[in-house]
Amino acid sequence: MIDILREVLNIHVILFMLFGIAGGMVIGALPGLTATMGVAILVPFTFSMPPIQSLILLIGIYVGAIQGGSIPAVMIRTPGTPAAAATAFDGYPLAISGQADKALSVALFASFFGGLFGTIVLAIAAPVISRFALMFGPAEYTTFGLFGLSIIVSISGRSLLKGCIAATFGLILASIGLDPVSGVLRFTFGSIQLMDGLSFIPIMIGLFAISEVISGVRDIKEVKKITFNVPRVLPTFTEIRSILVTLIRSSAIGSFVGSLPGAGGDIAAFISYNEAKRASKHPEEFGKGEINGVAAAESANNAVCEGAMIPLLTLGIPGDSVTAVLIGAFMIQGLRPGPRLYAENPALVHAIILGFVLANILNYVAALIGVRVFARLVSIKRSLLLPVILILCILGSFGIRNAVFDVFVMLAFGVVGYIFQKRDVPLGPIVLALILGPMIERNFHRALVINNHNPSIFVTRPISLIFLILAILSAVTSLIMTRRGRARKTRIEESSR
Amino acid sequence: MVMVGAYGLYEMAALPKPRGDEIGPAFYPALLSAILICLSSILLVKLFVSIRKDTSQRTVPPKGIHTYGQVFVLLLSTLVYGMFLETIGFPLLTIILVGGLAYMLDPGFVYRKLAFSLVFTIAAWLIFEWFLGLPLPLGLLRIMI
Repeated sequence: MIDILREVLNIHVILFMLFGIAGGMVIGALPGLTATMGVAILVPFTFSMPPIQSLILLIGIYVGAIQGGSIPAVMIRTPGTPAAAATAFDGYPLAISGQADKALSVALFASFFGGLFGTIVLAIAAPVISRFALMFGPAEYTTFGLFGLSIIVSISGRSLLKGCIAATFGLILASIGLDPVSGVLRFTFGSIQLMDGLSFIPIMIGLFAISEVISGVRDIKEVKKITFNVPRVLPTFTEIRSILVTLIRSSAIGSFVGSLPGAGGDIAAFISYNEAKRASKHPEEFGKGEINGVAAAESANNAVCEGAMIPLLTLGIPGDSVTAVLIGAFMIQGLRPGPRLYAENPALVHAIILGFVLANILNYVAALIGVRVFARLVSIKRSLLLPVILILCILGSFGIRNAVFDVFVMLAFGVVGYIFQKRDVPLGPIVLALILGPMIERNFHRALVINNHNPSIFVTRPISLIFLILAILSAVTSLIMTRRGRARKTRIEESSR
Repeated sequence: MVMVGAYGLYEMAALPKPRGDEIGPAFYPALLSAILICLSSILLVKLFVSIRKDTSQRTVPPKGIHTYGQVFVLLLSTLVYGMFLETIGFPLLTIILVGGLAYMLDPGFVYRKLAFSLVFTIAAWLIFEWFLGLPLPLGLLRIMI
């Protein structure tokens, strides 16, 4: 443990983390740039770094971006990230009434609290789940993969059918290259580059970053310059006392929602906001500048970051879109997140958990120092920002193998991602399918070979059967929860107008 | 997507089935292709039905040809940048691309945009070279140096 502490508290690691946090806060503070995009762009640049440094840099970006998203939500009623949407309901009314400092100080403190709470939950839950996952064989992995795919329901947005189409498309993409059992080439069109399959990182950059750049060019508009006075950045003792219960409740909700594969910060923030309003003695104040509203949304969306790491580290299933992209960072380092990671490389997992503790502390300190600067970022010109993002995307794709082919892949998937977004086809299921596809196919084949090609193996082995049932239950409950959540979001948005 | 699925089925039909492997390499992609065709066909039918039902006017005006032109230039310049990154090099190409795109998106202040692209190129170079330890291709500059 002392070795891990020494490794994480190394000056290089702290510098990398500060760099990540600052970068993340810039990304979060700029409306339109998401944490997923920031992590996706930077993942390829981490391959020359040692695993701990690279993952800690990305954790910094993740945590920084989620917190940074609250700044434009408060200042200009435009959430920097989707997770900060609920922050704007009460943050912005406070800002226009001349209390931007109150809103921001509560938002920053709530983020810090939520982040630390989530890290404690991660540290307690992760080892228990990963020990259970070590009992898996090919049949269990297949049905577990199907269970993972069942979260498509919750990340499909408005149309489940389109989500399923996107996932099937992703599974077909994942089957490009050598067949894992027979070694026969599939969908390679005679290309040597496609023999190993499509590279995950360029696809991810294309889908999440290039598609946003294209959207940015189409809808280019400059954000108005706004100057707000932020005289103080720390909440008062009275303010902390009045939001304490909300902080604990919302952080618990955030950790739980984050640990459910597919449910992200936006859902957690809306649920927590609704619960805070329900529990309040003055629900009529919500939407008019109630600090409990800001605290609920911010503590929940930050607790989600750590909660989302639970299924990633223990089962290899991403908790949200950012952790889906983070899998790329593990892959670059030759690591595979999942139960074996905990058994074979516990030091790395502990370093990640410690990294989250450190990230939340440094993030809070950095935010307190730099909030006035980050608040000005909302007025950066898109015409300067978009070319810079484009260059980073190209370098990120090119840099993995020094192959121009990967730049073309990135560009092609950028166009695909843009068209899909315009047609309301969700991108999350494609990435999920790309991650889970090879695991499902390989283990499906192996399980059948073991059982003389009799598919009954999937229902006769208890854990496998449990996963099949869970997959069905997860899909059904996600469908119900998503519909209810959407109805709740509409209700809250209507009442805050 | 229907076309993608159909192509998947066509391609997998031609794959050989290795001896001793009852499932074969084509089974899984062919199954997925068939599912993709089914799902996409349902979506097509739903879209067709909704178009017939929806008689309301478009409320959002379509983007002008100028915007599509900008997107086209963006994609083309990315393609060219990727193709010539190793031969022309990162510094020259980046100054041209960043400056050019910034000007295209917001005409005016040419020198400011040029200065911005120059500063960004140098900063990115330094970060990649020293901070990340990832050397970027110098291209023509290597010959000149």
